[in-house]
Amino acid sequence: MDSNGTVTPYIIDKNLGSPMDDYSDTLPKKNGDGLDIIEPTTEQKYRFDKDGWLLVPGVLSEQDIKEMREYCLQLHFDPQSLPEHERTPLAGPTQKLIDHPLVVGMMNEFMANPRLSSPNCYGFSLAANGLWYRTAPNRRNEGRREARQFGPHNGNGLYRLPGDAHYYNAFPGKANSAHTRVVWELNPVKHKQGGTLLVTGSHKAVYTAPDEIQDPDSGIWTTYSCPAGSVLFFAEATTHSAHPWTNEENDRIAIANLYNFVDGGHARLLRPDPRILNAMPPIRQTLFRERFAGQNVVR
Amino acid sequence: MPETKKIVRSEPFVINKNMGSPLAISARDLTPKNADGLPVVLPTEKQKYDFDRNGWLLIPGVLSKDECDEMRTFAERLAKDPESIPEHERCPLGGPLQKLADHPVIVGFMNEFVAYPPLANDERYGFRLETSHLFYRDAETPGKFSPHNGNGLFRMPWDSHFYRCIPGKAWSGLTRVVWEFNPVKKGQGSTLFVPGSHKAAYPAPETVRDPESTMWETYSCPPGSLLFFTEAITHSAHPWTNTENNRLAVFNLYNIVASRWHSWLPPEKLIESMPPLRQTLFSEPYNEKVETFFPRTTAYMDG
Repeated sequence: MDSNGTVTPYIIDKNLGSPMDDYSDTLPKKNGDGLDIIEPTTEQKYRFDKDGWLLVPGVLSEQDIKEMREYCLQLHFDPQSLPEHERTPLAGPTQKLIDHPLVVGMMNEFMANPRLSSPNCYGFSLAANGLWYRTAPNRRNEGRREARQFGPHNGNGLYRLPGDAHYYNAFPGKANSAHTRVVWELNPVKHKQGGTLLVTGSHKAVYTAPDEIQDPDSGIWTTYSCPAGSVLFFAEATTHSAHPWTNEENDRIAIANLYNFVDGGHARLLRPDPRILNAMPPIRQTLFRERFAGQNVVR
Repeated sequence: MPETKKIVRSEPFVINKNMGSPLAISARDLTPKNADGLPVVLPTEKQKYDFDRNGWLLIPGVLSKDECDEMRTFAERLAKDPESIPEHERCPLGGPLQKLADHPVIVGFMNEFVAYPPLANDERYGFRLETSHLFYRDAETPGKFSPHNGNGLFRMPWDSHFYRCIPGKAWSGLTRVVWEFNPVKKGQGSTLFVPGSHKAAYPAPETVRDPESTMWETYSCPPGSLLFFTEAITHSAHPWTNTENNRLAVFNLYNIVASRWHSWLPPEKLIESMPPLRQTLFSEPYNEKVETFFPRTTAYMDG
């Protein structure tokens, strides 16, 4: 029993219902940049599990934010200035976000398969990676700006059938989000001015959503504000939606990463250009390995 | 607003007693009128969705002003001058408060979240009333912060603080109903909740011990409002600091038919004075086999 009064959860292993041994030593302790993994706090685990989403404000340093924002602006407005294979957030300074110590810590808790994890290998995969660039309507004539419409989707993940990645599993002391979105906000986000909308608790809802959910101003929806450099985690099992960006003081510049199990996912396998992949630290490359479970681990 | 897609609904598959055959009736088919002959009011789709995902639900302004005034007057007598009330009615089920026990909104809600369908019919409710308390709070007796319960999804069958759900259907074990007779101001003494904690898998963090933590949420409401919460949710009293009025509320606690958490019962004379249907709220906790037991609820031939 640990100091906060919890015991190790009983996780059924492969054979005969026997529980998994303590697997904490099999999970990676350092990321691709050699940085110590940051485990989620007791409160962060509790909030993500009960709400279906978690905001961690102010994670990145000013220097990181500046470099990443400049790269995103170049990528969005002047992609021709970059070599073709580097026209992706998987290149440049934003690459390291995909296995940021905080992300690895969250995925180790909520997604990683311990049998496919090792100190040299992540127990989860990266399924998608993109730049979300959004602009207020009065500035959309300033070059290549984008908008997003309200479009609620997903939810009710607790009892989805195997094969549908939008599920969410939980039992005493442990939860698992099979399809998890991580959004790095590189500019400030103002409340109700374009941050992602979420229906708190809907990842475990069992009733069909009411018609009011079609109204973005309904009290069903919740959202957040945050400074630049913050990170938002949400289970794709949570009902969520884009919200038109109306913040006229700054655009939305966000890197959105989508994680899956090692052995499957909703989207096709993400295959970075080999020149980018091969230049990554070895453990970071394991985010992109082939999709299967049996012995698919780098020791 | 852009064109929206139609939201489709269907009936849940609820296993009945024999051979995995499904329950053939739903909340709509259970006790249709309360003991006063009023049609029950089923929760809306939004109310069901919000109670299930949050663990609590406020319905503002359910009682009319006249009803609320009459009940407040009785409740104040009960709090301050109980001797003026006949002995068998000195509880929150006495006088005009009695009809709150099976108010149409209560019966509709319990039919959805608590009732056991094989036992519910026109003559008996499919749920039980366990306790009834009057809460009187003011600056001198404010109550204190004391978080408890939570994590109901995986509790064992012998613990009534459970919450169960399957696609399209949820059940709450012990379920609290609060009738607020006076205005409640947000953050000035209303009950606190950790939304979603009825389904939480992790133990609560230490911050739950701080009433100012953003973990907690609460409500404001006008007199005559109705609050439901599952006792599976982490909740707490909050010291009453509203100096404009005291808190005067009835807390009724419901449970499933086959379990009993508390040993309280209202005075026998009071029960006997109730309409027969209302008396069934105080049934013994077992699955009594009545005439309508299984045949009505299943397509399985031998019931």
